[in-house]
Amino acid sequence: MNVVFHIHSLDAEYAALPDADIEALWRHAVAHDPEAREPLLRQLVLRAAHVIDETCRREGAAAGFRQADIERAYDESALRLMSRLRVDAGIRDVRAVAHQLACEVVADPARRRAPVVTRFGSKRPTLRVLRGGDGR
Amino acid sequence: MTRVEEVFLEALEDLREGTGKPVERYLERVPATERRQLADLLAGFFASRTQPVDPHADAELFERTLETVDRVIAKHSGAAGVLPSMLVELSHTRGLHRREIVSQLREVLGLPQQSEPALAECYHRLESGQVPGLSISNRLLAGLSAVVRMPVNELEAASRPIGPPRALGAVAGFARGGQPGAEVTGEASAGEPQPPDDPSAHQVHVLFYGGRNA
Repeated sequence: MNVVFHIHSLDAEYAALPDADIEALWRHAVAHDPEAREPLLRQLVLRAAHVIDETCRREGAAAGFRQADIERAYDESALRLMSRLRVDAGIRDVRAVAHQLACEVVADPARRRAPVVTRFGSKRPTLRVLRGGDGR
Repeated sequence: MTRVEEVFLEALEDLREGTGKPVERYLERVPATERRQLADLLAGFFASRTQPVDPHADAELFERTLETVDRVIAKHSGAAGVLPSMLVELSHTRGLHRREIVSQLREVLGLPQQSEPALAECYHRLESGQVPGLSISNRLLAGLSAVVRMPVNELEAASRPIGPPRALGAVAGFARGGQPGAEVTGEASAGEPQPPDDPSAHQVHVLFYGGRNA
């Protein structure tokens, strides 16, 4: 699969900033500069990635998720976090919200599991006892 | 020394001295045919230069996150915001086919069975960025919220038009086998279709094109 990332001109600068600075820029962007918001959302979601991953793995394992289910829950939690951060600049702890959203996503009773992939094996051999010296 | 190398070294010098300019400034100084090469060099440098702030940084996880987030942000449609790509992504993560979403949406909105073809048509237009975000009714946003399990205020925010991203453009620097120049910005709106005469189809049309208070 070809994957293309869109490197923002400020990505490198943002990546080197501490959490507090990124959060301050994000709060300002949400309130005053929507066009500057997207690369900041991206940066915040990246910083919460390990929380989402750990939560989806732990909660997903407890709920009997397979790897594909965990990955889909991870993707959805990342999207949910980005979406929440787009509207709510009052969030105090982004990682705590990431954890909460991942728990919600995994626990959603309407969540559909990935289909089980069945593998077709060769037909089980039928064995029979041979009688007689000629093998018939 | 080629022009690309010259500009690249100059960019490194600026960055070392703390006088780095926006990446676009460097790219526009080389011919269009050589921008990819310069962008790759700069992306590689940034990747090696930046110390991960997060002690748990995990390249594979970051790559997955960037893929997911960028599929939504990069494919935004000017007039429909990021809602179309958000809906497509959520349908994947929730394992829902479009026809299932349409069927659930019809039930949630209390629409008659015969409105389903019109609903399917409008939903297709919505997913492909052809429905202006601000023309979507609150009732439809509430219905979508129930189906994709996302708060209505977040869907509303996602539907707001946004300007072009201040992005460098597609770069294959961090991708495995990526092809630059493959970005899709999906300019929205091929124009609002004529309101249909059929009452049930008209009801659907109003939900998608009638504005927030329809």
